[in-house]
Amino acid sequence: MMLEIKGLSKAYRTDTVETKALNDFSLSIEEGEFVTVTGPSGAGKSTFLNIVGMLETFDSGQLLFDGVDVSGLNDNQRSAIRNEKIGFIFQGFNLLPELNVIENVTLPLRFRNMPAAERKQRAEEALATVGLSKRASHYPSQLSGGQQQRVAIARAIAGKPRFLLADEPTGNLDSEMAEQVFELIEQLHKDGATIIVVTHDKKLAQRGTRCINVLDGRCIEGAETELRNAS
Amino acid sequence: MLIFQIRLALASLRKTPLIMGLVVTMIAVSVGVLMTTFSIYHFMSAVPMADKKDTLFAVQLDTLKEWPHETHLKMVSYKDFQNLKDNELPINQSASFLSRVLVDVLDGSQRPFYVDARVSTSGLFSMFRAPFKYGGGWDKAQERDFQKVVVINHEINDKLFGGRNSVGEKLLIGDATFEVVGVLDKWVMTPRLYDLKNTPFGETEGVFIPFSLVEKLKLTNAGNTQEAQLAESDDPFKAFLNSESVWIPYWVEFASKADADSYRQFLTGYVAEQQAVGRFEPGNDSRLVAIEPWLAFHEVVNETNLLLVGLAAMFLLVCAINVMGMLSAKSFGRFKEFSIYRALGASKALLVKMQLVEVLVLGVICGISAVITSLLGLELVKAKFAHYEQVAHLNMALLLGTIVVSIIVCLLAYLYPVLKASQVQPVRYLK
Repeated sequence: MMLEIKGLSKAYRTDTVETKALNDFSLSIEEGEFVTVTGPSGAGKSTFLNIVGMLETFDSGQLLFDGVDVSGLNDNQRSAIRNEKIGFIFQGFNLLPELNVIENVTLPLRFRNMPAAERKQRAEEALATVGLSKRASHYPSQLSGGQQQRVAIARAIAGKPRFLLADEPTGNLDSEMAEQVFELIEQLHKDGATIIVVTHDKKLAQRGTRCINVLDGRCIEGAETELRNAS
Repeated sequence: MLIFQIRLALASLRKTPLIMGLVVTMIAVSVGVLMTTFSIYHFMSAVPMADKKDTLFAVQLDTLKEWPHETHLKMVSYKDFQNLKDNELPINQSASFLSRVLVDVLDGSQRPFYVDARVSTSGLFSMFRAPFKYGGGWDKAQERDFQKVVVINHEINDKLFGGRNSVGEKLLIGDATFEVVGVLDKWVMTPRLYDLKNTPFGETEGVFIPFSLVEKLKLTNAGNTQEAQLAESDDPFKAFLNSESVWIPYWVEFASKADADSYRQFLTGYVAEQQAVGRFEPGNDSRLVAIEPWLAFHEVVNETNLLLVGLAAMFLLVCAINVMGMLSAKSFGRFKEFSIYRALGASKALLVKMQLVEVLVLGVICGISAVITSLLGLELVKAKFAHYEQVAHLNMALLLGTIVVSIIVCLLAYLYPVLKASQVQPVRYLK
């Protein structure tokens, strides 16, 4: 089992208000699955993704990542897993503007203290995969939105992670660019990656091997069928 | 990774040129002002000949209890020096005074000029470790034989002899012909221990003349004198020498503390002896004075210097607080960048390390700027106050200290932003 979540709860608190983002959330994902996550805004999709990506902690429940209970890990251990086993793709690309394309792509590999030659080779391979080999020395501001997202994907896959987490990866792109990016994600799945994509786009959601719906902080079973029927 | 982090740090600093310009300027100016005042204080408060603190003493013989003038110089009279100089307990003695003489060359090829002179016993050179470029000081025999020998400093040597080895050359001092026996190299002693009353931070005198020639050549004192009533005489110079006036800084050096103690007893006996013949009023303050109390008595470092250092430190504190505000603002604006690092696998510890590298880079830039500011400040001090010439400079330790202080200030100012940044919640900034 790649990911096993049991009874996960997460609430955001201010002095006066408590907002439950996830409530008794349970889910299992096998290695090699391509899971799409849908649901209305504020349902808890991004919180779920951030907790799986270990960017956020949870209040109760259990999360086993590749068989390891993450609640017992310290920051260094969580960071190491995030660096080596998880690749992030964001809606807003989140590239560093002062670094060029290849430097952005190699950044997570530097955090891993990978030797320079191997780092370069991995980055070049990743850029070739997303079709941006010729843009290696460009800066993000010199690229279109679609190209920037492809650079972000290259950055996510350069470290050969087993798990790709994408939060609305096509949300900032026009339909043509969105299609290209999603095809790329599908290709990565075919190459063996386990993928979770959060999306509002129901058509794209159907292209995963499995679709879950998040509503009021819970994972709703049978969403896949419902979606297929709806389309 | 470190080189990459330095590159990232430089890129980050370049991203906000106005803020960084202000930060560098504030730290450079405040640290520069602090180091300017501190370096002057440091050199003024230095204790020269510290290794001789148990064996080197100034002799203080207070011939009168009540002086006609307020100023009280703790030195010795000419008469007392003549009485004491033959005591064999000291291994070295230095009596000297400041004079001003007319110097000329024999062939008339140059115009004569006045120069500060120190009339001294031969012991001054070895006692205060005078550095010689050529030759050396005169010896006791030459002094005893009233030989007209002279030591000149390297500037006079450059002026009169083009910088060559002039030992054996002749020059005119007043009307007398002197033979050069030594040329001093650049001599930095701060403060100038052998005469704190007259030239604590001045330039080395141009010429040094044997003390034994005082009467023969009627060498007059150009420094401060605690003047007593002079006897009626046809020869005022002789009357002055025989008076109770004190004007000669007199130093004695011993081989051991025991010898120094013996000399103290001798001095007590001498005072009693002189009292028996009507000199040295009861209750007079006569004794051997060690180096540090001697420096303190002459107020070589006055409270104003320390106050200036304190004010400069407060100015630095105010600037550091302002810098902290600016760096915080800059850091808080970079939370998205830090969040990206975290998402890509940077631990909190690595994030702190990356920012510390940035602080170090900023600290070094500020430090170099502060060194430049300090040097400019010291040049300004020297230009305005010539008597600070010897103390207004940075040595290697102070130079490195300036950079270290700048780095520490940057580090302290950046501590809060760094801690805040390490606690950043990536999910709040990543979409």
